[in-house]
Amino acid sequence: MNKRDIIQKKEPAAAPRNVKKENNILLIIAAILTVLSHIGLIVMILWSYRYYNLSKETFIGGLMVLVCLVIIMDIIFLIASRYRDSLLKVVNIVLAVMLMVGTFGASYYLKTINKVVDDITENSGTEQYQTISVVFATHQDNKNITKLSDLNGKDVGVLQSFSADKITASSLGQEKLSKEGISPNYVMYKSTNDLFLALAAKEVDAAIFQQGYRTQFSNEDGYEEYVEQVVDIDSFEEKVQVADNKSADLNLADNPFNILLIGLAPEASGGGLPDAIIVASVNPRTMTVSMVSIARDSYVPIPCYGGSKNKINDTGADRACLMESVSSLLDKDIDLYMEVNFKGLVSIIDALGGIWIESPVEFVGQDSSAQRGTYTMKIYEGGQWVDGEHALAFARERKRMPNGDFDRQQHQKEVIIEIVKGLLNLRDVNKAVEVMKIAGENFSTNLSLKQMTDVFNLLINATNYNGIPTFDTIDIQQLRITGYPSWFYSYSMRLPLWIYRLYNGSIAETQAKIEDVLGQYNLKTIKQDPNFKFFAEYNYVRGPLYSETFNEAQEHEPMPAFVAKLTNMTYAEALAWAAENGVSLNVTFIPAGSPEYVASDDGWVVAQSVRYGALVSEYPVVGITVMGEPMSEEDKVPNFVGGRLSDAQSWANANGITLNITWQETDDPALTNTIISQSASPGSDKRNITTMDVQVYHGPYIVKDLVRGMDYQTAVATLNSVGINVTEGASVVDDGVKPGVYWSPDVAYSGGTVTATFYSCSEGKAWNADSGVCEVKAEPTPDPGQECANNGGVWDGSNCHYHNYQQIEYVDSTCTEEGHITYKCDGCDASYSEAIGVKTEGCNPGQEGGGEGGDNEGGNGE
Amino acid sequence: MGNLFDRLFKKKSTRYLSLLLVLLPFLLLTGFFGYRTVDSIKNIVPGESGSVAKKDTEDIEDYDYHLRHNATDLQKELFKELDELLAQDPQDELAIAESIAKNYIADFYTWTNKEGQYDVGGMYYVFSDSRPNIYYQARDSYYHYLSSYIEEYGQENLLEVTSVEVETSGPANEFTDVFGRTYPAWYVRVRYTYADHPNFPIGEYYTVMNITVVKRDNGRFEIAQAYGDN
Repeated sequence: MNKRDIIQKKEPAAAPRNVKKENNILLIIAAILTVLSHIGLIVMILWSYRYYNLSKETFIGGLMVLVCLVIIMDIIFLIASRYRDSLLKVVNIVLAVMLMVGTFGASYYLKTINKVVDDITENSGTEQYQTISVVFATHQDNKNITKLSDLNGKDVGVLQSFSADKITASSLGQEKLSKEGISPNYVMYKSTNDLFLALAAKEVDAAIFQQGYRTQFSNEDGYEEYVEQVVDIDSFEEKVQVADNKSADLNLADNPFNILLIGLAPEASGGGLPDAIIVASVNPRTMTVSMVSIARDSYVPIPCYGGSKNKINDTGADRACLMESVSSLLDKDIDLYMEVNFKGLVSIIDALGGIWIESPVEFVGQDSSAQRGTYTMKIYEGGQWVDGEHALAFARERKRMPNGDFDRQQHQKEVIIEIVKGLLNLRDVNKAVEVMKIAGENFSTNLSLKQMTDVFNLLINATNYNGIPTFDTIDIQQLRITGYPSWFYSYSMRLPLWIYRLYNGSIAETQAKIEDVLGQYNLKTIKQDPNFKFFAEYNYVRGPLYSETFNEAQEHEPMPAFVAKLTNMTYAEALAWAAENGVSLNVTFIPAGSPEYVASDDGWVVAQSVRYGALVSEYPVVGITVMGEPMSEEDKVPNFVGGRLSDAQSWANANGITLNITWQETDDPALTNTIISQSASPGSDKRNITTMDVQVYHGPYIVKDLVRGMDYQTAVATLNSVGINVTEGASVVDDGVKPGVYWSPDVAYSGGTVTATFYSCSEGKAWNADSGVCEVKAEPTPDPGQECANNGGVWDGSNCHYHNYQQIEYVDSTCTEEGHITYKCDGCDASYSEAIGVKTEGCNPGQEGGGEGGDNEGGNGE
Repeated sequence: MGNLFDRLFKKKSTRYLSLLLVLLPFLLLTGFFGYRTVDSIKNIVPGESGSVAKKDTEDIEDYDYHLRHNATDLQKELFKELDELLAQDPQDELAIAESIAKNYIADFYTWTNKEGQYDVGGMYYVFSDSRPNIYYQARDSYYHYLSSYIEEYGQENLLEVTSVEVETSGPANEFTDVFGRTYPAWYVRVRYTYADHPNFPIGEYYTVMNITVVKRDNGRFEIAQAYGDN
């Protein structure tokens, strides 16, 4: 072989052109996809890094998996690109596609989640902001005011400012008008109530409110029609800075903190009002949480209103004001908040597919709408799977629960736990994202993401301790600040307002409880029982966490006379109210047969000209409309006062009305059965009543005169008939008292009680009036033929014979063939069956009768 | 380097094997981190019963007794003793009852390995139906200020049981629970001592406990009563 051959043999055959082209295409595709998957990974890391604290192990582990896969892909790409290996290129492409899909897919979800988280945590950080929604409103009759420029020169009502620094809806509204060159005349009012009334009364042409005023006034009785008369002409929102959040950098995993939880009632025609106000004090070191509920009608000083008292939820949509009010009430720093719209909670539960609840009773609850009285949520007794609306109704129900508010708080805790369980068990990513979106729209907080992950980690780390069920490791203690219902009359609103006054003792007790939970106590002053015992046969019962009542004087403001809700009354009741309050009624009747007549409302007041709450002193005459026929004379309830009970009873019986009689004592017997008062007003319509209460005099009864000559049973019946009760006393024997029934007291009144004591002589004794004692009876010596002993015996002069002893003197001493013998009983007692002296008895025919003795039933009575 | 690369990957016959060898460590790492990731995700979701503490290290599985991860030497010793006694066939029930009592005392009355108020010791040994009840009773009383004590005195300076001895023991009357169910029972009187910590008022704490141990239907021994002399 020569050199040329060797050289020629070394040259490899050139690759076919299509294979080379295919390889190049694959290489390009692999390169592009590899680069894209790197980009996807980087994007994913950048968008997910903020959740590192949520679970470091998961984050690092997941990251390492992706990095390893990327390295594997890169090595494969390197080799595939250096050597013409289609297989490796294909493997590289597949791997790159998988990584790309995974990373970009995750990035897509992360983007959505990040947006939600950004929305929720928008207000995190030291500087705090609040969005104030401003509304310009006017009366519907002001047809010439339809836009802001129409306010020029007009009277515009605004809220008085109590602080130069505080930005309010009023100040923002004024600023806007100024910027637009509009110059109205501003009229100051001290409260939103005053402002609203002024607008409703057309004292001003327009007013500036904060969003939510409609909901606020819609919830007050008697104000619905005014709300409808007020129309909004413009609105805008502005974010303003409020008090700093001093807890912005607080590590919530290590440090105790307070946070205000606000549940907003859903929006009706405006912003939501705080419906649930809870101060949660969390101590991560002890895994203890106290949740203090504050009733929304709590009557407390509102710092934003210059310290004047009002219902706490009158702070409306001003969250900063609400937080300041609660902080002031409890004397605790509360910088953090979490706000949730109830509708959002309903949506989250629905997104989770519902939750499991266990109800102790069956009831129908209210739905989440702002409409009062929308009771449509049926909850059954026992365990059941429910959707969001039903779950919310269950969590809010208090009145029908066996333990009232306590049960409601337990149920709220259970619902929260079930929601958290549902969230933690979510496997469907799309569902999780959907829940996040709902949360973003209905949930807001000033916690930072880090703080939220701190709380989340706290929850996770709380689980699984020493065989204790997961959520029981966190000790959630539910309390409430207690008080008592009261009223005050709002002269600005011309309305009696129901309020809840808080016990000072309850406020102090709550403060102490919060301090205990937060660990704000001096260990050196604590006296702890150093030992522990338990008995499994008894259940440990934790003592009450809060007191329901306190021994404090209750404060109630005197109420002026005001116009009642006459539309809740019958005509008779309205008349009675009018008489009691010195009001004249102008009555219009809607008779049966007229187009407006409604049979079911017959006898009821269906309209009133003066609204509920107006002062009677300002409206001495009130017009009412009554459904039904006017009263005839016969329909009127007579005046029985001063008259006889019997007359009233007769009238009541004739009209199917039940008299409920209560008795009043009098020392004057002449007044007995005289009527003192009657519940149905004289002149009122008898058609509207089925019962009437009457108070009747009764004079004293001399008992012994009343029952003289009666046996015991008859005497008892007689006493009962006049309302005197009888109790049986002792039976006394041989007591030196003449046998008989003795009544004590001697004088009794209807409604009273007398005691019957029975005196008697023991057997064999008889009362001796002369000696005044029960004595053994001496047998008298009777005359012959007279009665002796107690058994009907006959004295024959020397012996006492039983009544059936016969001095036989036979009329016919021969026993007849029929078997009868007749004889005469001389001296027999007349009570002995046959006619005196004659007796017939059986015998043996032929038997001779006679002699003494005979067929005695008894013996000789000696 | 280029020669090495060519040597490993140029020839198709050796390419894939060489590739597999190079990728193997990364594949193993992927598997390892993947398993750890899935495991940590599982730990985020709390179990329904939560009966096993994820921080526990050893356990007697058939009987659901667990030793905490930071057990003291005494606790480890007593737990081992219990394990051995339970493994015996036939079982010495009185000895097991004594061991249960000692384990409970050593865990419940030791604070040096507790994290706070919520970390109540000895709960695996108490009557399981009443466990949450007893847990809260302990949190409300004996363990109530533990978190503050830890902060004030330091965890290592708190109570630690250093020895537990049985004074007397024997069969007891049947125990009846709140539902009317009865179980065989043993009484065990134990005396125990604490490590000496001058800053903590150890002298006020009991060192004698009377304990009633019952045997449940599932074979588990549980403490139904525990009380001091007064």
